[in-house]
Amino acid sequence: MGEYHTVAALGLALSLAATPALTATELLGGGVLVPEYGCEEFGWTGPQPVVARLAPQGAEGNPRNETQMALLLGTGTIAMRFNYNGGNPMGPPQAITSATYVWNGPWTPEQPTMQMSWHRYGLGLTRRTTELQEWVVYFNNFNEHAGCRMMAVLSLRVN
Amino acid sequence: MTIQTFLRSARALATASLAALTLSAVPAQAEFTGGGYIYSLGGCEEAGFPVGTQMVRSRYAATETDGTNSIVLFFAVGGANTYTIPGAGLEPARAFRRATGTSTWGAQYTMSPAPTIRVIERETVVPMARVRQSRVDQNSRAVRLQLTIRNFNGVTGCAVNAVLTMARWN
Repeated sequence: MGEYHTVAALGLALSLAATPALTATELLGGGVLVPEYGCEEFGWTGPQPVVARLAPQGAEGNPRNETQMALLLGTGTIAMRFNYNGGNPMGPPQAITSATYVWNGPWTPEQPTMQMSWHRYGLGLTRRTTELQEWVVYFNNFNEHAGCRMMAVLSLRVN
Repeated sequence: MTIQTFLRSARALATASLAALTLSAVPAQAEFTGGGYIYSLGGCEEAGFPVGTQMVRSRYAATETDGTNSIVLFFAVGGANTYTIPGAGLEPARAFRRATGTSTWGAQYTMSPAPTIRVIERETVVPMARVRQSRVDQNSRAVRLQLTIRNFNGVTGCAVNAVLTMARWN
């Protein structure tokens, strides 16, 4: 049983250390990134498993007008902030207000070109969301790649 | 090119082709890859895992396309579980099904007592048709699985829910 205790301690340490103090409501989970089109020339050719963190805006302890999300890929991380204005499935693509891309060093473009929108087949995100079994998000100019459209299908639950 | 050289290269080519075939045959056409989360329904406290919601990556091979039901969970904290569910495909049902499992942490363990698994929901997406269904076949583009796993991670009485979203991998 010794190994289980080690694992538990590690999990707890991770939760404590990795959760930003500013965020009181956070959903954890994962899913898959699927290139839709225009991503091949940048080397994105197949589905990528991903784990993810999401702090919905307006949820207890979170900023009112800003949602934070991190996509933790196997070999890099994309962290972003956006304001989804109450959430309008199939609405026009929304600007990502800030994004940091960590592949080698952190890169935070002054004005990200990446945009996001979400699909009506998935569930909507509200400030009261505690579990999102299926959230389908589309990114234009994913990872700042001009013309690359990426679909993310995520399952997340409040921690 | 002498005949010996030709034969040598032909043999080399044959070996290479065979190796390539074998490699490409291992990840079956309709294997799914993705991730999601797990959380305890109870009975896991003493083992100490999972605590809260745990992020996982996952893979899923289906009887319908791969001849066997197999689910692999890669925990974000490190470690993995593999579950094999013999018999028919993972259609949602009320009953718990017998499974076998292994866990990999500091070593690989065979789960004892054996896990049992209930498929609460399975939903697939078929491209173009925009139809959702529980059936998995060669055309399934993505799948979402919701499971309850008892004796999770080889821990007697530990039950978890797992929600996994995966896309076809090839």
